[in-house]
Amino acid sequence: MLGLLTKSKQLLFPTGIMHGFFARSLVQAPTLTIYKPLPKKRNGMSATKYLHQQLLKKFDPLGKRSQLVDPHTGVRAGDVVKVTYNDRSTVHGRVLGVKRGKDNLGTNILIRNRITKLGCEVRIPVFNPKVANIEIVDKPETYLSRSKHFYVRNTKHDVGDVEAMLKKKLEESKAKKAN
Amino acid sequence: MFALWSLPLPRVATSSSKSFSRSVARIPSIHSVTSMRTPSPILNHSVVKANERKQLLGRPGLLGIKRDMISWYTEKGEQLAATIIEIDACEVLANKTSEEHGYTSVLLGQLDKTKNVVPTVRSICKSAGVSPKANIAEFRVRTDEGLIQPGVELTADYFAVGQLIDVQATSKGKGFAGVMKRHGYSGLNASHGVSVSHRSAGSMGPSQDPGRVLPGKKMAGRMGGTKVTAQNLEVLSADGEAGILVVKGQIPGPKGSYVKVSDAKKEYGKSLLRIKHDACR
Repeated sequence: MLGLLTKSKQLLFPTGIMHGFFARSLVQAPTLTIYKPLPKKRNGMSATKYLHQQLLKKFDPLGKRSQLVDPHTGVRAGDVVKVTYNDRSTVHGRVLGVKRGKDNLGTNILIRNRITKLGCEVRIPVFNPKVANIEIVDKPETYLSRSKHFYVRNTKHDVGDVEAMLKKKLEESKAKKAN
Repeated sequence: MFALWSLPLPRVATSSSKSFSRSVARIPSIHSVTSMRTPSPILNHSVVKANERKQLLGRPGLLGIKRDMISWYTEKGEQLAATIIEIDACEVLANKTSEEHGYTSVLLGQLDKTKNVVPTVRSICKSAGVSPKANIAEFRVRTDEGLIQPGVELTADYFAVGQLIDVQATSKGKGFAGVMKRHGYSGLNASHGVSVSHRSAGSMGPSQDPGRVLPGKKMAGRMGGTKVTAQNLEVLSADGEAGILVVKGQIPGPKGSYVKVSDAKKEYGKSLLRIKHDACR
């Protein structure tokens, strides 16, 4: 039986092949000829980023809206903002937070006000063509902590009547000037 | 098939003839009857008939890659959710004709891939005169008129702004999901003595009769990872040069997955039978 096995092994793998099987030598592979790929679109720029640039040109040609929501220099939670729509109606409110879209026109500002002693909130889509202008009217002397001020709702930090506050501030400044 | 109607009619004894006379019985031999071949009828479940019934589009679609979802503003100032589909190097690789293959279709490929391409794909691309593709797919077309010459690049502006399209892709796999997530069952009570089985299915069906759970019962199992078609999506923007197609709403699958985009089948699809029927009117 043993003899048979060895015989068959010898038949399957003659010594020459066994040697070649274990000690591999480098052989140059045949090179493939293929057609040239098409030139890259958008100079290889990401499709999302390219489209965002195009949309910014259309919806924010002056770059004012992008500046407003800039994380370092733009509007901050705690600022008081005046929003003007295309039909000249206005909304005042204190900013609770800015929700920024990445390569996206979905960026919006959440503002809160107290109207007839009732807390009211609106989300302002910054790049919406219906919104004509967003203006920072007032900045607090000291900001509360966190970038999102959702915790101020119904606490001692809550937003008061913004319009009344602005009026009061204006009168005070007028009185100072008069003195 | 034997034409039996060519046999002589059997003589019928009429009531008027009173006298009965016996004669030699005439039974024609089966070999004496001439036979002829009639054309075999086209069966309804044949390929030809099935193709006629199939609701198909006049032209192929496009291959694309799903990218991010964005906010889209209309002229009126409405805010919509939209999906970006990138159309990158989508080229025609081959055509299939009804004469040769039994049905008509266009083979498309997308995304140039120079390394590690399967030999079969490489040879198809070579014969079309285009560089090897990462993803290839087939679009069935109604007639040979819808075929496009191999080597032609199809761009995103193939679709018009405002038209409706279908987007087909593999949905996100959710793994082994329970009955509440998979089929939207309500589950059992949170309290009132229910223990351990708050998210289970409840009854599996009738009792002793039939005495078994009927086939097709909705149960827990693998969810997602299947071919899904989002139908009748509006095209918001189509930029051929930049290769960007913006579609209203959501499309199946994760970001970066390959999708098949075509004209909306329910809006623009027609069967050959329907066209014939309309022409007859």
